Amino acid sequence: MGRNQKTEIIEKQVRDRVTGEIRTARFHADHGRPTTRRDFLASGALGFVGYMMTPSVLSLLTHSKAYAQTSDTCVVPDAGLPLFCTVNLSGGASLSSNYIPLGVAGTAGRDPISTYTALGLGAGNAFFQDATRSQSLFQGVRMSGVLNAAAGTPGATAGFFWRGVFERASTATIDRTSLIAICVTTNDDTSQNQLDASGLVVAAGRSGELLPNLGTNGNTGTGVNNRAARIDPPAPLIVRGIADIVNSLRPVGVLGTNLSEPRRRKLFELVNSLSGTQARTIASPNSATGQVLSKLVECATGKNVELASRSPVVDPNGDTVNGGSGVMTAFAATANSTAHAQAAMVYNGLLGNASTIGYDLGGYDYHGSGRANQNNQDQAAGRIVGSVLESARVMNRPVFIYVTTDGSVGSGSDTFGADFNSDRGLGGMSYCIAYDPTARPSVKSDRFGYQVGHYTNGQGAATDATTPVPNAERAAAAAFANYLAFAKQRTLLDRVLPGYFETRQLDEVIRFE
Amino acid sequence: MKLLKNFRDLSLSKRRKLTASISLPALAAVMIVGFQNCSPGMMETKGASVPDPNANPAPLDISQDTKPITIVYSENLLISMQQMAGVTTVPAAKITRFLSAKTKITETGKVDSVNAPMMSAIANTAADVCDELITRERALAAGDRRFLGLVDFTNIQGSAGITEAAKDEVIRRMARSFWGRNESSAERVLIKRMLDEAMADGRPASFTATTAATDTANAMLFVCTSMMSSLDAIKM
Repeated sequence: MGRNQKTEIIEKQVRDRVTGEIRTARFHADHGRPTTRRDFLASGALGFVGYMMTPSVLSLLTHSKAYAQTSDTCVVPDAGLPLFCTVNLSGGASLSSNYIPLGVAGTAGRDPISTYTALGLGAGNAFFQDATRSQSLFQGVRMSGVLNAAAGTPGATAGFFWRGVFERASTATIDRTSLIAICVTTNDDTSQNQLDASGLVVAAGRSGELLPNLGTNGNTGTGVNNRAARIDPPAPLIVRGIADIVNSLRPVGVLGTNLSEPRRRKLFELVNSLSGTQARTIASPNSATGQVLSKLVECATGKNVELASRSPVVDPNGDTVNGGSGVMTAFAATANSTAHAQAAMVYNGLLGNASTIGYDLGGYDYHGSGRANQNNQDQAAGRIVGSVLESARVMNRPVFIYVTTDGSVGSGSDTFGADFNSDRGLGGMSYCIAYDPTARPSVKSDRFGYQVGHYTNGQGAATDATTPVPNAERAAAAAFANYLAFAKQRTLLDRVLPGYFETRQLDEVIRFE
Repeated sequence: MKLLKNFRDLSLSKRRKLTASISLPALAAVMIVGFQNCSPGMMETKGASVPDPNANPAPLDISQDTKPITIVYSENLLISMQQMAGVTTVPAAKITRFLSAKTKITETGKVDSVNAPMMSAIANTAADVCDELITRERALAAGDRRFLGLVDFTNIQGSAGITEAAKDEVIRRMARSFWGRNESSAERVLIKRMLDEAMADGRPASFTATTAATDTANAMLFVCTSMMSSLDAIKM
């Protein structure tokens, strides 16, 4: 045994009891008692034993959520996503005659195409800068026609969609509204265009607190006369009158007649309690569907307890609390009219009761019916859009309107404001119109301007590799991408449509910022 | 014995290595397969993660879920409820009502499509099926009934005259048919308590024979509809 004063090391000679081997052990004076191999094994074994005996407790501790937490607050799943409203003009409306489509984007921006005879705007493109035949609206977007132009003047022969919009939307509303157009060729007079984006919106997380998505056309599964783009939406509630909405939340049949309201409330309380108990057995940590189901069932049955106790506010008529009366005014609606149902749709959408809404308007297979009738129909469509925008203002909520149509119409005249005489899907177009109660939604000021895709000098929407929107489905996806950009939720695009657009295409596709 | 002797003849370090190479894998095997108590802890690490209740719900990928759960969807809801109740046919008016309610019920059975109108439509449909069940069983002799054998529809006290034994048996039979299991004692107590509270509300001072029978039938409608609308009856 010796002692090294400089390094404070103590050396010991030790003999193994079993083998008799002699070894030298060194101890540092400033170190604690040595830990033997047995010490290590003992401590590890203790930990292992503890783990083996209490795996259930451990698994509880290693998860971030208590299993009995399914009855916590029922979140509104559409938080952050504004109302998505589709207005489909069934039959092929002249949207590309109301919004003047431009050519491919050059380095300095887009220019008008050489002539617009097929679009009912006459020969050449001089009208584009002629204040008697076109004007700039929505912060610089050039539109055909002139609002309030005197009858008989050229400005009063085109652009009637905008007349309808401005008829219903106030200046305060227009000042907080932005517009972009999507140039896309679609098929004429068919419900097969994959233009409906409501499934994408629902997949992004927008859903109604009380009602499913609302539509007016029961033939397609989308609520409007278009097929779904990429993702089918949940089955819509088809609204043909205000009663369709009101009755959807009321007990019907035996439940409504045989059990009084207090008894129905008790019944839903019982369903809620039973489901809550049963939910815990399926909400195991490795069943995501079980957890979601248990949560949603508890929320849904809990909501029904509320609904059994009170009449839910789904009718805007007479509602002065949420702005329903203002919505009725915006639609110029009288009780139980078609406009009343239309008002109720946007009212419930803006309130968050419904997920998406879709108006399907007929009468747009109007080629050959004369420009006066065609203008009247365009104005009627504009009124719906203007009413939705004005409703959003009176309810102080944002809204994104997607205007679609199947195909388009064509003209063969050199005269500005000429009749449309034929179907012409090549001249297709969609609009995206966004209202934000706080400020006008910002659109990128780059060379692509207010337009996605472009028209060629053949007066049709490009369908080749030069456009990111060569078909209806991609146009719907572009509308969806702009909806997300408007909602400041662009990251959801990668979740719902991963890799759908190339990065270089997104520069043009996404116009809102 | 020879093996043991050979083992003792090995040097200490070799004996330790040999012991470790045998015992450690054995210990690992015990840990992996044993002491799990059917818990979802160590064995099921591939399960989906716990969703954040405050986040926007991501689309569910059932193929990645180790325990996927769906619910009855619109096309099979009525048939499923008829089978649970043993009701072979439903009047045309009730079928029409169900068809109009279908738009509110999920078409796919995906769990993230559940909402309040859907649960309300399910309850409405369940009530219609339960009404058929009660009507048919009332017409049968007590001994021939499947669910309501101990319920006396002639008791002049109406629902107040339903015995505890009758309630217990109705709940037991419906639990087995609707949920595929016996009810728990907590569920039985809850159903009976809520039934008593609901039926006491608005109960008249006295009944006629007709109104008493109707009151008893409504009590059965309450029990049947609530059990048929609850989660265990609609999940698949």
